[in-house]
Amino acid sequence: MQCFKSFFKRGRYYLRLSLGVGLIGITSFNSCTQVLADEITQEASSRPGYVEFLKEFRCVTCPNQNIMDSSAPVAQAMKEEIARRWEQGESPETIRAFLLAQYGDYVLYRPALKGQTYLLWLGPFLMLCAGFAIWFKMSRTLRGTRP
Amino acid sequence: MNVFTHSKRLIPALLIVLFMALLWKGLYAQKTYAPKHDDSHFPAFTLQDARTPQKTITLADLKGKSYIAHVWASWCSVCIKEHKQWVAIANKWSVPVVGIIYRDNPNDVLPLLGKFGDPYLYLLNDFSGTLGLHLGIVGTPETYVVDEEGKVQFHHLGPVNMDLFESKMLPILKNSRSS
Repeated sequence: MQCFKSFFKRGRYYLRLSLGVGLIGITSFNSCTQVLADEITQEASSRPGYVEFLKEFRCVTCPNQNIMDSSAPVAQAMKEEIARRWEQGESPETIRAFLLAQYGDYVLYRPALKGQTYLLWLGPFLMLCAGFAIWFKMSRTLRGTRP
Repeated sequence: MNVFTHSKRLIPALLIVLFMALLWKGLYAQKTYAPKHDDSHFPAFTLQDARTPQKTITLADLKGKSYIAHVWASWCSVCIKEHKQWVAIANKWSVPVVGIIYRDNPNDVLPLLGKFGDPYLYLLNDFSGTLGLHLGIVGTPETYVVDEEGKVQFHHLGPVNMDLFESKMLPILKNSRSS
């Protein structure tokens, strides 16, 4: 009886073991690729400037986040691609050019200063200047009317 | 009150109106990413077919064909709802549809195809999402219509139904074949 119990226990153990091995075998390709991708992104994140570089790019799936903070699949793919290129020694300019070629200016969290974006960049300063001008004018007018 | 006093009030009022108009325009401006891949070439790739991992597919396998490329994933609920549309489209029109499973596991995808039908000529396994990046995808599902010269003639973000397929995609495929 004892022997039977022990055989049964061991049988269940082998069954679980073989199921586990089988599952690992089935999923090995994808999990290996994922482990590799994770390793590359981890390695790259220890490099100076890499994390700051990631923050330059907008998550195209969720536009109010940069790809560093986003867990969207497209943002993950971008991070892995950037990490791969970063580890291969590509310059930030080349990587930026690659993403710009695929997604256009939209992918940049801080749009470049150019014809289409002058108003976007200079607008707040212009408004500040206008505010000062109005304040200056009003204070002079008020001073003039003081008894 | 002379014209000068009027203009002193008019200018700030005009500025405020202009500013409000700018904000109003911003409310209705297109905030989402606009597809830019119409009329550009479908990017080169070398990927495994998720159904037969020993089979590698490259862009050369699609040379000279007009086809639909559909990016989807089993983790995307919209794609699962959309799937029956693609089965119906493939049954009705027998057009070549290349499925691209995006950052997904074939073990999750294949049972779905077994259950609901498999409309795909090839089922490319874009596990890393590299092909997706070269396509400039924003999120699944996305669909591209590619002509015989390998040019993307139409790009659609979001799910496709029979009406959209017949009105926008089928004419491109037909034109491509007849030319």
